[in-house]
Amino acid sequence: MTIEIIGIADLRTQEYRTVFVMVEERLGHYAGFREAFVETFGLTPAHADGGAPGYFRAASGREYQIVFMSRSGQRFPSGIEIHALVPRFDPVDTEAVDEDVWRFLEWLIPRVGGEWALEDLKATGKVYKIPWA
Amino acid sequence: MRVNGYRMHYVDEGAGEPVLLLHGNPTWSFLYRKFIPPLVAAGFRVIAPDHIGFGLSERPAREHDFSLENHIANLAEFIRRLGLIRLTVVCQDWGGPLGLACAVLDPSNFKGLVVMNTWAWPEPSAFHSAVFPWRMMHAPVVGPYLFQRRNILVERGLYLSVVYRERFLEEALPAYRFVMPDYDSRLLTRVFPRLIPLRPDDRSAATMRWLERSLRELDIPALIVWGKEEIVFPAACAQRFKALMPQAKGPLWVTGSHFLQEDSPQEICGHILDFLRGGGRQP
Repeated sequence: MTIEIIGIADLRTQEYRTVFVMVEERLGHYAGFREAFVETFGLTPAHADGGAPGYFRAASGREYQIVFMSRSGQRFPSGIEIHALVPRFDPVDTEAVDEDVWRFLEWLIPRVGGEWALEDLKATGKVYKIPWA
Repeated sequence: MRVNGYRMHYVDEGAGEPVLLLHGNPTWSFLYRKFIPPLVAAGFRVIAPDHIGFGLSERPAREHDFSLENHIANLAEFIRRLGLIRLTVVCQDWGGPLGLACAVLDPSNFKGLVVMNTWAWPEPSAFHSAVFPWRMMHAPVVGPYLFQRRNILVERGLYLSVVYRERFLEEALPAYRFVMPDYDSRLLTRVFPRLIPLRPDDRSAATMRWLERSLRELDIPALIVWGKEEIVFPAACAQRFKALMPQAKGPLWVTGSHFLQEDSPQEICGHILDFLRGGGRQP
């Protein structure tokens, strides 16, 4: 298992700070992506009002927070932010983070399903020289 | 210059009738560096803006700041603020819908249209319809990663979309990297792909329908120049422009992939100068 969905009580990173990785403001740009997050994290519209973020642990052991965003006129969640949990004042290894997030994408795409296939993600990564594809 | 509240950078060289050079994604006015000297030497004023979010122009950090309609409005205001009249527009990629829309909005102000490797209708090309690689590249969550964290359109996409690749690596890639140095600076590279309509009810579709319908009624002299190696907008797109604008000369085929300005600048400039000298609307 390359990606493990965890609760806040399962976090191993101690005294962490959150470091912004990336934001997706249009989770509903293509159908299926929003639903993948809704199903995985058991989200309901009530979560938009002060609900907890989601967390995942990569195979590397590094842990990440997913912030679910809400926007008027759009179904919840309208977007997500991914933040790395980094111990206190430790530096961030951005290449290691990028490898973890690539593995997260490999985990995500089969959960979206439909026309979105893991082999297409990997092939795209290879064409564009993503080192972990 | 401030345009609709945004800082917009542009190159403005020479004196004479204006020629507006419009880039697309993920390029900037640098794309036309080899067009400007010969056009200026031939007696034209050459203006090459960087669209908002590209090059040295302002980079709003929120995806919701951008729409096709906002980009058109920004370019229209840019033209108005500069007081450009008897204008010839040269456009490629997203420069096409933006520049052609401005011509539709104020046709009496335009002397000529030079259309290269672009589109102006709501139906996507086969390249833009396919999941691999195009739609996967800008899919939710995947898009911010590939376009912004990994900068794939600059680091790889440009290289894959020119014919003379070694020359591109030596001469041009550093300048494209220079203006996309970090995550926020690359936002538009993934926003523009999402503005391409795939279905009739998608964002931008109504504006693209308006553009196509309006172009049929436009009677501005035009020239169609197309890359022989273009795969994003294949040869059928050049023929569709010819059907839309039967007054247009061409298509003239040049050696060139999607970014044909990198591949055949001198040859294209020759075609543009021939067009400007003989094919434009008379005073």
